[in-house]
Amino acid sequence: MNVLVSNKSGLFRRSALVLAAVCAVTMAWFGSLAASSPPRANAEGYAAAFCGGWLDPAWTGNYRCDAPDNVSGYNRTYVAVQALERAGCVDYADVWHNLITSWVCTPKETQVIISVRKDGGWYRGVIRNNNLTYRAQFSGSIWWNG
Amino acid sequence: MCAGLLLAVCGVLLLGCGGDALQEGSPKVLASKPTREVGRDALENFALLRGSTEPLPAGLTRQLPPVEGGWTIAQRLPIVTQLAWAVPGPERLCLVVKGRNEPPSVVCARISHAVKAGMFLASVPANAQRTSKFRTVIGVVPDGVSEVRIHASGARPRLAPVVENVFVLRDHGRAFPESIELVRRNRAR
Repeated sequence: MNVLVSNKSGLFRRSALVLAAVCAVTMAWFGSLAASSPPRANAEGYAAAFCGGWLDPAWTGNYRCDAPDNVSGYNRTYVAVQALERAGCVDYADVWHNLITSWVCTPKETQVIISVRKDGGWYRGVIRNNNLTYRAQFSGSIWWNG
Repeated sequence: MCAGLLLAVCGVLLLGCGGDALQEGSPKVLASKPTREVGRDALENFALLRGSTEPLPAGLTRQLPPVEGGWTIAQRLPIVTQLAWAVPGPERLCLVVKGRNEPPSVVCARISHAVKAGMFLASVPANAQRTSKFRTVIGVVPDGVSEVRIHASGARPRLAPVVENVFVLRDHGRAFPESIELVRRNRAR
């Protein structure tokens, strides 16, 4: 009886380990997608986060981050950046990553939202670190009408 | 059965993770039900906000997201080159700026942060067509500040005088404003 329980317990433990590994791999995959979270509907239409994570100091490496295609498109209404640790800027760009308007920048510990031109264009949100010395965490958000 | 149970738990965990990531990235300033309250700290520290209020033009509010406090208690800033308003809420102070032929921009900060450090919104040309060639910095600072020193990445600081809690800098600079330093006026001895 004890052997049977022990075998069952061992089988359960092995299954749990295998599934935990599968979970870990799947969660890591989801984590890699965190920079372009799936859209979520709200009172203002749809919203999605993009480029959540570290940005390098201004003018070095990956100091700028453009929203991926899956959260970009037509009917975009607002783009925002949350600049909690360092000053940041927000803008929007066309499909070829050409900026459409002036950068709008704010100091750290603020959030800035810009309205997107309603001219029928296809746009993506763009954010950047504005600090010359330090890398910092930023997060972009984009809204659109369904 | 155990495997199914674990997969279900795993799925719930994954959904939870995805939801949190999105929630984290979503701006907290957006409120579904705007209120009309104004934080006491904002009134006590910004003389500008103690004056009569002026709602934002309806055409403009249609271009803006709902914000904590709503748009009905906005205070127009005395600026000639652009349209700008300070919009206080219970816990946050927002600044709305609209340039000529440009959609509006909004920056929000906690009132406690605005009282301590002021707040600003800067527009820096990005060599985009049909946009202003000017760099513009518009900000509000608490009572007692006579000028601000604007620090921009890789450039010498620029001084801007403060009038009625408001300062403006408009030039052809290309450096990105990063922070402001508040200069208090000397007290009479």
